[in-house]
Amino acid sequence: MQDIIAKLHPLERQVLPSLKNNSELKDICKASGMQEIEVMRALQWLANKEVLKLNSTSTKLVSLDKNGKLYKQEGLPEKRFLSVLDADFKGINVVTAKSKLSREEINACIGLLKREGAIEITKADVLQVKITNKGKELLQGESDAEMFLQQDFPIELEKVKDQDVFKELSKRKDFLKVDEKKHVEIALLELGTKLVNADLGGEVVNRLTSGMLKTGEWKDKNFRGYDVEINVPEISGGRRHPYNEALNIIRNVFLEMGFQEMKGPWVETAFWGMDSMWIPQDHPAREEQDTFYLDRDGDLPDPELVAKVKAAHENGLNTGSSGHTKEWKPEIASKLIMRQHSTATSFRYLFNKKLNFDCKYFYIANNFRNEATDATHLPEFGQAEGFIVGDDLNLADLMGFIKEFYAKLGLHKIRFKPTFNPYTEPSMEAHYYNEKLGKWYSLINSGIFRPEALAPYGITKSVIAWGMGSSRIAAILTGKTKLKEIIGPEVDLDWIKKHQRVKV
Amino acid sequence: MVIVDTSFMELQEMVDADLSLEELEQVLSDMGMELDDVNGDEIKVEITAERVDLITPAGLARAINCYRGGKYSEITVSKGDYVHKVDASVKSVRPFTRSFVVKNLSFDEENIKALMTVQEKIHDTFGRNRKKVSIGVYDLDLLQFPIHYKALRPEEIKFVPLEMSTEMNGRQILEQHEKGKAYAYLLKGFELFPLQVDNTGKVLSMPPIINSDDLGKIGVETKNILIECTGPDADALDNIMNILAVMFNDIKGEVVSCLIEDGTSKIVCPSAKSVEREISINYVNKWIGLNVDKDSIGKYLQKMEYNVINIEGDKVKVSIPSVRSDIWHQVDIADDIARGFGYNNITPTLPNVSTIGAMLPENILFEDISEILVSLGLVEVKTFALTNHVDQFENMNIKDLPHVKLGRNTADKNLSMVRTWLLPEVLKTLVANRNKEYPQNVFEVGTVVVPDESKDVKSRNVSKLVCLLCDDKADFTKAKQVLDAVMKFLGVEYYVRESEHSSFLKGRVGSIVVDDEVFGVIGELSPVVLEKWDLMMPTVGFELDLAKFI
Repeated sequence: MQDIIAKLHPLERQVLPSLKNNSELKDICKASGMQEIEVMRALQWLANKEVLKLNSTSTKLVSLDKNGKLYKQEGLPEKRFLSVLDADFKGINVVTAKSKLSREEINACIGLLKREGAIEITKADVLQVKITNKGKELLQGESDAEMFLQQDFPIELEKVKDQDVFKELSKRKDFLKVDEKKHVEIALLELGTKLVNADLGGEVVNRLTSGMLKTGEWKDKNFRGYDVEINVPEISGGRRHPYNEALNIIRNVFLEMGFQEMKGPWVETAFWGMDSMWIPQDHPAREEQDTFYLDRDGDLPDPELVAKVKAAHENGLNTGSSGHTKEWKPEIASKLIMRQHSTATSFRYLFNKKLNFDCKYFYIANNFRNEATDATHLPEFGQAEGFIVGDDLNLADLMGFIKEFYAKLGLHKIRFKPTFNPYTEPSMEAHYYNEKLGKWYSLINSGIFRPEALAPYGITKSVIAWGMGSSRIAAILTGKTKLKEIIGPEVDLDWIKKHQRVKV
Repeated sequence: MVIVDTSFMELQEMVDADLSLEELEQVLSDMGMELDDVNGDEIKVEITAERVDLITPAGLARAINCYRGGKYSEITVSKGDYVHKVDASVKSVRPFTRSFVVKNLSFDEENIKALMTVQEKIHDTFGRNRKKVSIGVYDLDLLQFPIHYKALRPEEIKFVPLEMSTEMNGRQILEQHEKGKAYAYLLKGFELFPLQVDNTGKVLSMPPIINSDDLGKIGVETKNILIECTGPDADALDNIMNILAVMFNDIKGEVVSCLIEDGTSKIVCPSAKSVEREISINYVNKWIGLNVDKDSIGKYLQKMEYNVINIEGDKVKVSIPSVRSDIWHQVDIADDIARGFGYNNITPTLPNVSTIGAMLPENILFEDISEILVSLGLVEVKTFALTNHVDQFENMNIKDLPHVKLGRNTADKNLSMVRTWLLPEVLKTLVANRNKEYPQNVFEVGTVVVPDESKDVKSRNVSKLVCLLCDDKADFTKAKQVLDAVMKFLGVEYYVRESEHSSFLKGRVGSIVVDDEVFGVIGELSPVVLEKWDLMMPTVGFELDLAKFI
């Protein structure tokens, strides 16, 4: 009880004494001297605290609108219209002037009275009107509309809604209006009965102010307790994109494991995109339905390197490989493409930095494939790629590394499966088990770079490498299945603003 | 990836009646395939691109059989005296052909259908829609040997193609026949069209388009056949012929070789020859991380269809099945040994490579900038790199800027170029979100591509920052406040110089200048632009080149 009293809002305190002897809203307002809106807020809060029960019913009331009020005083326009007519035709302009009706009212009257046979009309230069016998009768008697007007308003809608005269008058402009009137009654609950009789104590203070602090006034104040459990209006501020938050998680995993970050151009020559790593020149991935080709050619790198790559393709260079045994054509390698994977950049690094020493590199990249856009397929996709150069690195090392990498993303149940890539052998997929969906999914494609792929760069160490769909990982971490809802201009800004922290 | 459709019962018949679906799934996975779908007796197996030999159910069954302990046996071929002559005229159009004969076949509707399925599957996948390989099958008993493969002018070619009743010439076939129209592009621009004819001059087929109606059909009454293929790559043809021979071996047909004569050489087809190769046990162990020895290595090789010829010390001589076309180097055999051993039986180890990690300095900068913008209340967006001229220029009320164009064959016809400025793409997020709550204040740090003749790829990536404030109360001051905050954060002195830019409202746009060099533009977007985008809300902001600050 004391607890409830301490937390009462000033409005609640003000209204409570009036509840003792009053149950109707208007009485409560009168007794408390408060505005109706204040009383309603206080009653609602008290109802939430189970102090009282609110019963509200509503009635629809008909009252006179601005024209209705006017005509009640001055008479209905049709009566005024009739009263200035004679048995002879009179010009409408004369009628208008005498009756002092507006043009709109005149028109309405003509329509109405003609229907009733109260007037006759003829058309000369101007419209001519005269009254009929029926009109004279009407003028003398009292019409239904006049009787309706004489009632005391407001009237409950229920009582009149089926009357023809009500329907008729409702059609007239600004004549009648219908309002909803709320009728609120309270019934005190057990807690309420106690509360209205309780001592609510002295004055309470709502806010602590800087003034009170400066004067020390706060020491004598009684601070109202708040309902701290109540919901507050939502706010939102700036926010990183959940997709980039997911990429940052991946980047941090690489950094923790000792990797250096790479970067490379989006536009590539087919040489760096494919030939550099021994993808044969007739490989289906080179076809236009898979790769975006630009309208022009680029430049091949250092001729010495090109000669070695050519030899690797044609005869395996010095690796003991048979090679592809087909002529390697520089014009195919010169074509410009949008890179379809960031391994292009890995091979630029192997060459430019002569990476024949222990090192680790990674790249979280944007890549492109010539694909129609739909919910799950985008022509742009994220790929996180890494490689390690070392002595005699082997498949077991690759497995160990991937296991560790997956563990850092919170994926512990994994299995390996052989696959094929043109530039790695062995090539391996690493699947993880999705406990929620009860299925295995592939996220990582990996392998050991082939001797034919490395020989042109003079790399004698071995290189293990893997790539994974970072868009897919972002989808997993953000719980979305449609990539278009994660990246691109159509993403819902509210989704970004209100997204929970992206975490493993 | 290629999907092979087959029947589980048929597979059990060829492998082992007790083979369970679970075991099949495991074996396929261990070998590098995948049981893609099971629908009653129909199963779909996904194979990888290099293993052409698994495309026939017979090849698949052989592989599974070996993995479960069976032994590989090479294709059996009887030597025949059938001759297939190759005329020099085909060199310029479709230079190679291969063929062999199969006798004593007992066809039924079922296995004719299976043969057609395999033929179409090869055409569609490894045959690259008949470009690399196209196959034809004929009733041997209707043919007079030798067969001639030659090229003629299309007007000289006259025969009744399959499913037609009247004679047509080569050009008419390409223009009128359904298959002709579908594959016409393969002969586009050639003066001569390839033709297979028998010794009496009767046409077998016009590769890679269509067979003739009289010789190019087989039915349940057919006992003996000639099977032929053509294409630009002789190795691919030899490989496919071996793979098909395996299939006929398995349905108990007698495969009889043809002699392919081109005037300078005589080639026996199918070659059916295993290739011998030497591998080092030590090399294999080092490459995979295994510990196999001369006693155990044979078992793993055999599981993957190799036969061990002999072992001397570290060296193992193996024979590679004739159907394999994916063994270039001993690493390929090492991988097969790993598959035989089972990837999931290998104990993972951690690479012993100790290095220090490092983020790219520019990415550190971009992260810092993003953080400061978030703290100013902006929301980060992420837009696409590929876009089109309308969005980049027309709707921005400006003339084309230098940019990188995509080729014409884009699958998504809305894409024609790489973005050359970032602001229009960020603006799209505001357009897509126009029914959402305002203010909408957004930013993106992103890459654009600009032409650059000095580079090998004739362009370079440039990093940009775009901030846009979209609200009824958004104005130039608010945009400049954000720019100010960013520049202070970067410790960069700058000023804004009034300039002209038709994307922005005149008199409310300026260049962002650092050290007398322009690095961006700031202003209130022109109502002309907002109207074009149907964005009925004032929008202000800036685009800043970040290159200067890296």
